Amino acid sequence: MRIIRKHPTASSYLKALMTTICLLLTNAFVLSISAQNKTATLSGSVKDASSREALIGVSIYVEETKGGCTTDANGKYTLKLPVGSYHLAISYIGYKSIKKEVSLSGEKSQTLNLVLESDDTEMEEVVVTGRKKDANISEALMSSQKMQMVTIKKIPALMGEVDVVKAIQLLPGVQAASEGSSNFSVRGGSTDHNLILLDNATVYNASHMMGFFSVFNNDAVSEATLMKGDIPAIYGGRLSSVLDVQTLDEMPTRFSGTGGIGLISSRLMLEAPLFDNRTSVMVAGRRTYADLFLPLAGDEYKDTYLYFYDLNAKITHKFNDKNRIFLSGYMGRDKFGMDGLAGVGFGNMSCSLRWNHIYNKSLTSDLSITGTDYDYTMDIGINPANCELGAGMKDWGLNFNLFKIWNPSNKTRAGLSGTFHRFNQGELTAKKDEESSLQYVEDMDLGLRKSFEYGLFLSHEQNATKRLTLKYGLRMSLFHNLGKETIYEFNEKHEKIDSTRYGSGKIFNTQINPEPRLGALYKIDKVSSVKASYSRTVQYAQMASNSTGGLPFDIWLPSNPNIKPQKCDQYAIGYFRNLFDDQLETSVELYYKNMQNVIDFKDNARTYGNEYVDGEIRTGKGRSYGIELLAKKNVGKLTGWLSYTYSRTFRTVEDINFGKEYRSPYDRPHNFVAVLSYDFTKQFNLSANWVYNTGQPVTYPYGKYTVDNVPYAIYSGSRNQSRYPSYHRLDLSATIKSRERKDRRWQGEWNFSIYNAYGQHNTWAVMFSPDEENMIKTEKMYLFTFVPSVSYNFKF
Amino acid sequence: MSKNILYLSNLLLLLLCGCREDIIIDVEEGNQMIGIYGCITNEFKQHQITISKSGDFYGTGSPAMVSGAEVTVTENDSATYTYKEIEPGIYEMTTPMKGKSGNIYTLHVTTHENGKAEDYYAADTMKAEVESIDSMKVMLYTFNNKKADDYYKVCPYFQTLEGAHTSYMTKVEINGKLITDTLNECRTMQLGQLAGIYLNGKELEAFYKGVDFPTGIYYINGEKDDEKIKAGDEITLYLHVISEDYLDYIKDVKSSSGSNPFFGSPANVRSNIKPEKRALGYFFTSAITKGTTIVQKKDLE
Repeated sequence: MRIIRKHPTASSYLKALMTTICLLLTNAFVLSISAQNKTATLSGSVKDASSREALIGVSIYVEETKGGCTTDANGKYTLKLPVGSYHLAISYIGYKSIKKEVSLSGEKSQTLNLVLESDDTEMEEVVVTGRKKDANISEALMSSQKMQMVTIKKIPALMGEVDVVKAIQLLPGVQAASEGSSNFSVRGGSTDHNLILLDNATVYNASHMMGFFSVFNNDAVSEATLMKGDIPAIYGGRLSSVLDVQTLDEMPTRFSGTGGIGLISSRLMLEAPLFDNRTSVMVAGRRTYADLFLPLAGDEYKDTYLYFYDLNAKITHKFNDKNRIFLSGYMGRDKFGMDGLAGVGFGNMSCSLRWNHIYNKSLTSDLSITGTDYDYTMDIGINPANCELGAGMKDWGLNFNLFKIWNPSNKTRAGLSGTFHRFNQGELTAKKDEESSLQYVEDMDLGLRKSFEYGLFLSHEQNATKRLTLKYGLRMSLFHNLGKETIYEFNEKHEKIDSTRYGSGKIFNTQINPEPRLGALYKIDKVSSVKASYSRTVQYAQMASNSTGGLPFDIWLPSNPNIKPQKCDQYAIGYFRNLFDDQLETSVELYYKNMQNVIDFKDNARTYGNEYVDGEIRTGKGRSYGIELLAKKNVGKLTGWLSYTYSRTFRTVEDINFGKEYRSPYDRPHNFVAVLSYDFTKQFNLSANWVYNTGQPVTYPYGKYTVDNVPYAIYSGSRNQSRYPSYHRLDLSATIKSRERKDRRWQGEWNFSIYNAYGQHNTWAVMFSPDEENMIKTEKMYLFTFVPSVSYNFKF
Repeated sequence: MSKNILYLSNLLLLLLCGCREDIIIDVEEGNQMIGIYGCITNEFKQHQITISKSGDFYGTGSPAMVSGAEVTVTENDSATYTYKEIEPGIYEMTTPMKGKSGNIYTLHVTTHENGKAEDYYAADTMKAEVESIDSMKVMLYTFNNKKADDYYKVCPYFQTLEGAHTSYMTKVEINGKLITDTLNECRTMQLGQLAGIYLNGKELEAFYKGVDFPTGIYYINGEKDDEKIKAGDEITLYLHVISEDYLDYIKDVKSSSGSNPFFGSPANVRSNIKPEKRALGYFFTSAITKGTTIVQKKDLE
């Protein structure tokens, strides 16, 4: 497939849209005819023979049709086949494969429940991937990586705190926004171009402690999937990626738990089956306790506090074979400050309620209600700035999705969603001085910005031939603002010239955008395939911040008459090959992204507490391209991956860099990552990862000007023309596990890790300050060198 | 608000970690620019303007000065005051004058660098001054009910001006010697809800020097050699009323501290010298009120 480097013209865009619609209609027509043929449905579940847990992603291969399916999230499968006899091959990594012969009469649907026994000879070496053994080459979805906690837990971590987001940042095409940050850029996108979901609820700020840790408690997480492109039509609202994090929802066989005690935090997760194994409950929590030791550092720290905590809870209930519900909640909060002086608190709350319903053997649906609330508060307790201020984002969403398996070769997803956004832009309430009864600062209320975002999608995956799989879909997104709100009008110089007041409940600025998603898989042979995809994504909300590091005080702005929706067209093509009986996955992917209406901020922009923040925003174009090489080994004593990415990303935005193209803050061409883990024995594992990045772009001055004996830096107006030195870091960890004994449920392990093992002083910031002779002194600031840690983890 | 937020963010970061080491950065090449800096105050004197050039980022020595320029200031488009060069790059009014509240002062500069005439101009309106500082006290700084060693606050008693955004800058002398001899040492503030009231000193509390909460008059850091005080010393406070734009300029100069992931891309400090982006510096007006006190022994306890 040729990589198209030009942005489509209006006519070519319409043509692509029409083609998509025609394909969808044609397919629906073909399906309606084929549905009249005499077929039978075979369905059932696949479970572990000993634990009776449902197995997800088990491959069920029909030898006669050379097709098949995989079990869904509930371990269930459905095959629709013409009447006749078939030979099924059921395989799952870490389990003994089995074969079954079935005869389908066609009169009524048949059930075949299966159990798989673990393959003890392999189990010690297996990483349970929850996906087909050859998914790398056989699944049409590309530019996607699914990570299991088993894999993530082996990666050495800062202060021993294993973290989903930090693991994601080691994948090709993904870069941490800065050292220690939980913000990340995917294929050159901005950090707010990523849709982060926790059990389907949006997470606006995934950071604890300025990003050194993410909000995801590894004990509560089941798996995380990052989609860097080829984003399925079910998702919308962000340009660059989707990070879908799912918490545990498998039915535990008994009351059990996991936990850990680390240098800075402890955590505990408990789960249990209830009501005759129809209900499961999971509760997980963690809290840091570094602040408890602060008084030991001296009296000046005795009033200082610095901690975070979070809590996950999930209840799943199976009413019957056709109805299950999942209720999930998260609450986390950071607090830091000093008693009597100032304090900051910020955190997320999210909840989701999902009802999974099986209409019949081939049709299932998910209905979910989600809510998310991110807020920050700052409480300044001293005169004269005695006040409280805060801001935040709230979302309420409703999603309904249908999944239809017409036959093993045709699957359709369709659905709709609606989200109500309520962004509090900031409010400040002054407190009166107790002695003087005076109020020192002015109250401020920047008001709410409310909006609705809807999505309607239809997508289809079709095995067109034995080798060719096509997937095509269309997402229609609709957005509008909702009063009451005052919208300011700006002239060409971005000066405020007028304003319009929209009353309460008034709908304005309606935007409709089609978002086609296309993809194709061509299997060259049993071990290799070529995939290609095109996706258009549209984003209606953006972070009102010009920082790349990510602050808890970052607020979001919805699109409005001043801020057009951002759009991205991404084209990708890749070659995928598995080696050594699917033990080693390799891939090469090329991508090109063309972005419109990307935002940046003018020089000296004031983004906090600014009623006219729209006038600080500048919009323009962006483009990114790159090649990603990945070799990943999932099984055996040695597991992990090696990846190399060459990528570039640029922006062209009015008033910035003289209107000429400039490097995006995330333009770091060379990226090499090695993540390796070796199980010497059942009890002893060593892991290491090494990261190399080209230095981050930075704007450096060219001279200085001295005023009143103070020299300060002067800039030419060029943006990001220089770079920090290259970034590299080695992390190591060793895990020693206790021996497994059948008569003992408790299993413990000690983990010793070193972050930045050779103490590289990676540049985090470059600071200028006048020295005693009124020259400018330049210093680099680095965050971590050689951070050893130890933690004890357990399960029972 | 943004300053508070960023300050607290950096405070947290420094609590957690934060190591520094000297480096030399690869600075790009650029054109030398003209910088113009000076003011008109309500003091009767020959006011000065300094014209210099930008220098190499790591350059040593004094900045290169611009000689041979023609400098005038026009008051309300009527009276014009001419400047003459008294030292290289230092231009002084030929006759003394006193700026008046409400009058617009417009600076015109023509340079002749490399044989080419270049015109620059800037304007500012003089604000009303504080009527008087009735009295002043020097007190040990108290934080969280604890007295700080060698850290003193200067508390004037005066009727503040109306307008929450009225902007002030303070300079201090100890026994006639200016201790705020760099822009970094000057303190700026807006009094917010204290505007229009009579300040009796008690209301003035602030975090510490260098953090621009909306108020606070001045803080003397006795740990500095030139800020040590003792009983009998004369403390003089110069309370400047300046424009909000100039206050922002001072803040920008003070916070021009490099690149930091929390701040976004660094940019030039704003200037009011026109044509835009052709020159550096600032021309401003300042309405000054002076207050004096003698340090008492009890003030230091």
